[in-house]
Amino acid sequence: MTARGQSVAALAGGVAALLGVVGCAIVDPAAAGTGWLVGFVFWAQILVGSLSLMMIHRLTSGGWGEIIAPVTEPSAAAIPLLLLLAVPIFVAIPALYPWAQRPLTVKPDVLSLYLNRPAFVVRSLVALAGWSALAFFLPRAAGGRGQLLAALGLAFHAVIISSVSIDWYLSIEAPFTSSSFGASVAITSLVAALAWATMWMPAPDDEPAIGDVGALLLATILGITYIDFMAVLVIWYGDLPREEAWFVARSHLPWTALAGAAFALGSLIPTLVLLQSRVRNQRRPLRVVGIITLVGIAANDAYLIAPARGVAALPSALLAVIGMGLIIISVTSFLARSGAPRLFAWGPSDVR
Amino acid sequence: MTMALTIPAERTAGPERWTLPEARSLEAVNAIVAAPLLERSSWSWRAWWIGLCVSLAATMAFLVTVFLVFDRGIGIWGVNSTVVWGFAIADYVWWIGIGNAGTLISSMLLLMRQSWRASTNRFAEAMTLFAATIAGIFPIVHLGRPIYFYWLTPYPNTMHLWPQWRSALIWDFWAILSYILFSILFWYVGLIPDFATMRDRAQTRAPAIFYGALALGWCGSSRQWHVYEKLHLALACLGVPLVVSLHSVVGMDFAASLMPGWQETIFPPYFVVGAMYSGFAMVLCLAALVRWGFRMQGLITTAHFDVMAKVMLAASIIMGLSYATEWFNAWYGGQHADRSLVAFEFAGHYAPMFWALLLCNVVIPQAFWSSAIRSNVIAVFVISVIINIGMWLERILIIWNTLSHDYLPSAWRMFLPTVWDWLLTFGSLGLFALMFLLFVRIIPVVSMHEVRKLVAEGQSP
Amino acid sequence: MTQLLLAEFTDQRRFVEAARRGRDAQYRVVEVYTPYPLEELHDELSHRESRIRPVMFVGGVLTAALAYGLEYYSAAINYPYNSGGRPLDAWPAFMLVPFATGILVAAVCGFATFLFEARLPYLSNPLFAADGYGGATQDRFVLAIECPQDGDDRSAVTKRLSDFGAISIQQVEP
Repeated sequence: MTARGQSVAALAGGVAALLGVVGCAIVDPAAAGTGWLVGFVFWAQILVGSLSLMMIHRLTSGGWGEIIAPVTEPSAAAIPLLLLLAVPIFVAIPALYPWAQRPLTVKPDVLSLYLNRPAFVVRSLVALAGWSALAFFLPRAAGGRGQLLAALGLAFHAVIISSVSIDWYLSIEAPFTSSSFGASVAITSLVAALAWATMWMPAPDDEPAIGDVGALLLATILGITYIDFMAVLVIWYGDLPREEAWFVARSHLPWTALAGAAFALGSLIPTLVLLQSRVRNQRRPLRVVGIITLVGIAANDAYLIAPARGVAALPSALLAVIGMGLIIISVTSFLARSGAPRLFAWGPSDVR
Repeated sequence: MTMALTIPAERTAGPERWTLPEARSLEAVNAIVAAPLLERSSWSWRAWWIGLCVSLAATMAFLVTVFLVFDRGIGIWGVNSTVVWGFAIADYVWWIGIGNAGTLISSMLLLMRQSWRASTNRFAEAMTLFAATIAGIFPIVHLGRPIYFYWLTPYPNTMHLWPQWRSALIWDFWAILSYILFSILFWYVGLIPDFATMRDRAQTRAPAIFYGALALGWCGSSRQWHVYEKLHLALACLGVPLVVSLHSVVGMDFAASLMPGWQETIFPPYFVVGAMYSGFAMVLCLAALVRWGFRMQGLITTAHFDVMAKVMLAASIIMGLSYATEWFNAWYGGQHADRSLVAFEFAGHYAPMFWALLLCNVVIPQAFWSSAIRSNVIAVFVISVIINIGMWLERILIIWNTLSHDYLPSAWRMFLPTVWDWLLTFGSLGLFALMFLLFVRIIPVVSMHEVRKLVAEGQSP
Repeated sequence: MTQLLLAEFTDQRRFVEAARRGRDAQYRVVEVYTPYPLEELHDELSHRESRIRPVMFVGGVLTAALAYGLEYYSAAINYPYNSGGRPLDAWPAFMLVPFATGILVAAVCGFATFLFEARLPYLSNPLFAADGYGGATQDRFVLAIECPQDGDDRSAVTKRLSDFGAISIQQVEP
């Protein structure tokens, strides 16, 4: 099949999967909306994480950024697609987020100033538009201007991701909050983008910077393991009812199994495997690690969001993750045809 | 496991950026570093003697205060029945924070292949060691019944008692102990080749024997260098997680509680960043002093100040964002105690100090956006001192605000420091200065073999 | 045991070449002494692979397991004590002590292996008495060569080393 044919097939499959989610919405709109949200945040992490990696690389340089650039640049350029994918979430807010019904558990001033539909939509739009603008302008700004843009962009990113991570993930169980959650999502997005890049990067097998990408993946995975363990430890230690409730809702099957899968696939296995320099320095084993890690991150996203709506959200979450992925891959490969490096075509024949 | 992270390839061509021409030969590096220690007659130590006298006096004040605390009890401080933690704990957190930058500079920058660390890591590691040692004194002084401090260890005893492993204070003990011993080892390993250089440069017998014994018979064979590099890199890989875990445990000392403003999941990582921030600031202060005192302008250049100022700028933004996250979460979570605490921080009894802390830690460091300020040694020194003051204010305010304003309004009390609080704090600075001054008199203050390697990279094609 | 020739160089590039070309030039390089690590020569000298990392790994993991075992024994078996309804084997709280002590002991094991493999301490190394040696810890590069028994061979080797750029050549007892 030609690359174009593959892209069309992927697009068709993606649309079909998302139509499946819409079909679920007829039966159970809240569960389908939750599934859609899981798919949305998973892909948002990959695309926005790619943008963060580009900005970090602008400030720090290094061979690792150059070999993943053919993946991170088209991925970041696809961020505007998230604006489209976010529309169903904006529509489904009343079904999706309990705070839309103005419950008594949330303070009235928080409801009127922060947790309401217009404010939620505005914050999401500011975040997505800001990231899209950065992804557009960063490749076009060179030298000192590019570095300044990257520094300011990282500052913007740090602020806005702290806010939308609470909006998209935690506010579904408002007023539960955790002050390290923004940092957790920001670092998870780096892991996701690095894992994504290891899957597709078109580097020759003897490229020395591959080991740096592997080491960065290991470092970020250790970072996220650390941040999340500390959060669990603090909440476990405090044992306060308002915080424990979030864990109690996840203390039975299938959520315990999902947590185990997220930890094993997203942290434990990649760490043990990446500790060996043989794996870190080679493209093919690294690609396998990347795929395993991404499955772990998807499980983690489902664990964070889905329990609010029950098991019924999981099938549509799976459909949404696959559907959005196929659409994003095909669109980036269409984009790639107009000059940017191709993302969708990889394999030994494409090694530069 | 190394990764090239921070410096663009065209600028890494190390020696041109990180040394001045007068320091660009192997012998020049050795001479600059070793001469003050081995050719004493040609060096004036007047400033050193003045510093030594001042720091000895301050150390005496520290010792007198510690003696008084042991004799009279912690009642001589400003602590009271509500604000049970005071300067001793703030000083502890502040010093342990400073005590992390040496390991970070050595380990993290080594893993990131940042060759510029070569001329700063030695005194940064020394700083780590002394700061961590001083930090280790404070919890014992603060114990109230310090004679029982060994109860923190599990040892066979007739009382059939065990340490309470679930307590963050026990984790603290093990983390500090491990960290100090690890830091000594890491520091000593890096020193062995330099002791050998000193041994072979010594003109008289006494220094030759002294440095020779410390060098253990190092001969610089390729076999020795090979195992040395293996060990040094492996220690660096272990150093980063150890330092992160240590400062997280310090954060857990607060977060493992039910107090408003302390029971925060962000505390462990935020303490790590804060520690890196104050530690880098202290390294910059010491770098400016070492550069001036030992005429090392050729080895510690404005480029070093520039790059470390950038790191501090990033850290100041993260610190500002962490503060804002805490305030936002207090409001968003909607708990009355949390919201009331934030209001107390901004407008309560300690508000002027709180605003000063924000000024020192978040506002003033924004000057580092300017490259002219980043490469002005005096400006960087002044801002680093300001950051260190700001970080000390942060540590004392974390304690004061929460303890002065917890759940029960009838228990709200303020902390009024006594002269012994201040003497303990400034005295510890004197003890630090004393140890550092003795260090620079005896031990090569810059890692000669690492700078030699840096310089050699510029000579070979 | 055979005697050694110590050849001293000032130029790193010519020194590396002299060390590498030893086989063609019919002399055997026993060891090199340099003021900073030259990894490219390590492979030439066919030293045994260092065991530092495996030793550190085993030492660290065993210590961590021992520390956790101690916590478990004391808190769950020997002195079970209900603290705020937490489980006796409170694993989240028991993680940090094994972590810190594991890293410390791994470092100590690494240091011990380093001393063993680097053959330190060795304060009375006869090398230190040789005239040409002292620069190797400062700015000179020293090549130690197995000294040929035959006087003619010896002068041939000496000649070749001088051609490579050796500034002095000393004969020492190992």
